[in-house]
Amino acid sequence: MFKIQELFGKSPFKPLHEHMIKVKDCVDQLPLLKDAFLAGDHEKIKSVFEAICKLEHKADLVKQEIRNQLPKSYFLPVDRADIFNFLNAQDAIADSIEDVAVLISMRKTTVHDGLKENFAVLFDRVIETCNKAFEVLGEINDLAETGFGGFEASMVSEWIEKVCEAEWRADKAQMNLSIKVFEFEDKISPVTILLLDKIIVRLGKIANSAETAADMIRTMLVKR
Amino acid sequence: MSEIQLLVLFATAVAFYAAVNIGGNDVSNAMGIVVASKALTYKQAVIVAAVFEFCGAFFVGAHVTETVRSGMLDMKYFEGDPNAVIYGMTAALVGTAVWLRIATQFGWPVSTTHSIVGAVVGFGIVARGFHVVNWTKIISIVSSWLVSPLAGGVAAFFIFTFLRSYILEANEPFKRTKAAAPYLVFSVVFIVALSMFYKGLKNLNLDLSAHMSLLIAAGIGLLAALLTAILIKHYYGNVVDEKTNINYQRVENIFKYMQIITACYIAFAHGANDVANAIGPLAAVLAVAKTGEVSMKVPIPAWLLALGGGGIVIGLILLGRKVIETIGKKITEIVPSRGFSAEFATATTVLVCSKMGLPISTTHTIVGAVIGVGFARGMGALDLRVIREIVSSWFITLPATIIFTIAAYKGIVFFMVR
Repeated sequence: MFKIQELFGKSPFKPLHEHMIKVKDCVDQLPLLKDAFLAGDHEKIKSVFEAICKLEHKADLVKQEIRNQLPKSYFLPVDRADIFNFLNAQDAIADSIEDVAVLISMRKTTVHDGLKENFAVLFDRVIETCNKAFEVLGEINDLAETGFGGFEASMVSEWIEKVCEAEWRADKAQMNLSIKVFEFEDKISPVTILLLDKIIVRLGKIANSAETAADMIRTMLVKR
Repeated sequence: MSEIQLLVLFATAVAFYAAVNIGGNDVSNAMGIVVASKALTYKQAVIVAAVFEFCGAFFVGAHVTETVRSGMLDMKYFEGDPNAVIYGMTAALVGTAVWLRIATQFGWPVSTTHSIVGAVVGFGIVARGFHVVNWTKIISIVSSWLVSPLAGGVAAFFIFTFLRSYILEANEPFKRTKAAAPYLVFSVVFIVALSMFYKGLKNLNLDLSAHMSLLIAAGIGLLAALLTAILIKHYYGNVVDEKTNINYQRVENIFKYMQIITACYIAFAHGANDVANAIGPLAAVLAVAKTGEVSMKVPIPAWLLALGGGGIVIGLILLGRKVIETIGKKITEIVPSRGFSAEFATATTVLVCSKMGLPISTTHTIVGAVIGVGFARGMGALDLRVIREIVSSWFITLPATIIFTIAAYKGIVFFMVR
């Protein structure tokens, strides 16, 4: 006898939302990391780093689960490839945060007082971009509910514009900070400069990934 | 008691067993979706299904029963040898029961409807030869197996596309839901009432004209719509949509309630079509045993429809609850607006086929309808491997039931004509 339940696969959208919440947990550690880094509180940096590693791992587990439960025979309301690209972009946010935490915790670096303000601005802009992106990513369930169209979709499209704007501001903050770092090149050791530059680039990558993830949502909306 | 009388008793028992099986297994596929979207609890689903399966079987079941009884074989070839019909139709019931038992054991997705059609053909072939089979009828039945899932799919696609574009994509979806609900309720109630009253009440010795049934059905539909409007105004009158961050949960909540109505609808349609699988062959056996003639046109007795309906209800109560419960737990992904669309489309397709006397598979129609909703971007994830399984079950069921029925026929003849 036929069992109707065999027709229904597990929808990927709720797990994608779960994954987003895990990634958001990582982003919520960024203000703590910023404060500890700028204050040069190495104990605190270590504890935040450990927290981020744990959270990133949790996000990874959800990611693997989603990947495993989407066989090719599944018929989905959006491209299977779009879902994977979106998942990768969303996961890259957490990955880059972990990278930043690794770089900050691997060496006892003190930030020159003249750079602190710019660093704080860059951190804030990156966090802002992520939070703006989460507003979009958090709508994935409602988008699935409406079949990725209509009022909900146009509303989300507007929000995606705001993410792009925020990312652009983060980019600017990143550039300003890089310029500033080289202004202080006589006062800071070359090794520190090397490390700071790496941290700055990675911070920028967090915002980039957030924008890419939001952009992948747009791909789902356009292809209908 | 003569041997023939014993055989008739045996056929009645097997037919009842078949009805119990239909109630235990097939109904759960229809009710599982309702339970899965939490519109009804298991218990409520069983009660709703029991009432409406019985109504469908009793009021509309005669059409398909007629097809199974005398539509697929040219009965004039059996004149002068009425016992052959009794042996053959009993063999068809036995062949179907054995085949379904085996298929269930191996978990094959075969349909009771397809099995009984194969079995009756098998009886015709073994008793008289290929020429007694009314092949044009068989072709129209078999093509309806292909058409019904497609029709269900297309209907579900359009119903859900309408719900999506009118309600879900609007900037005030809740307001739209409240506006649309009475119309949706009207259409369901109207169709069910119409199919019940038009040619359905003959069993109660009440035959309404087409105009009269249309009028009464419209009246009942309007009443239901009015009641819906009043209830919505009472419970949700002051609830309005948010400007941003729309609450779709509330929209789905209303569909949850409306799904109760489509659940009744689908149970009704299923009863109307599937009761024939159990009592169609028995109807032939009884008519021949009673009159001693083959080509006498006797109407399907009302008590026989009641027996089939009763068997379905007993199976549902004894075995169905557990199956429905399992399905409800396994399917976690169905949203009420989608369930509503798929059920509405399925029930309508099955009911139309029932009125046309076409025995089709309700389950396969549901599968078609759910995929139709998927094509309208309504489903999270559908596993399309199921389609392959269903299509292969089409090819295996006919030959298998033909063979089992031939064996059963040979066995019965061996014992009876010793």
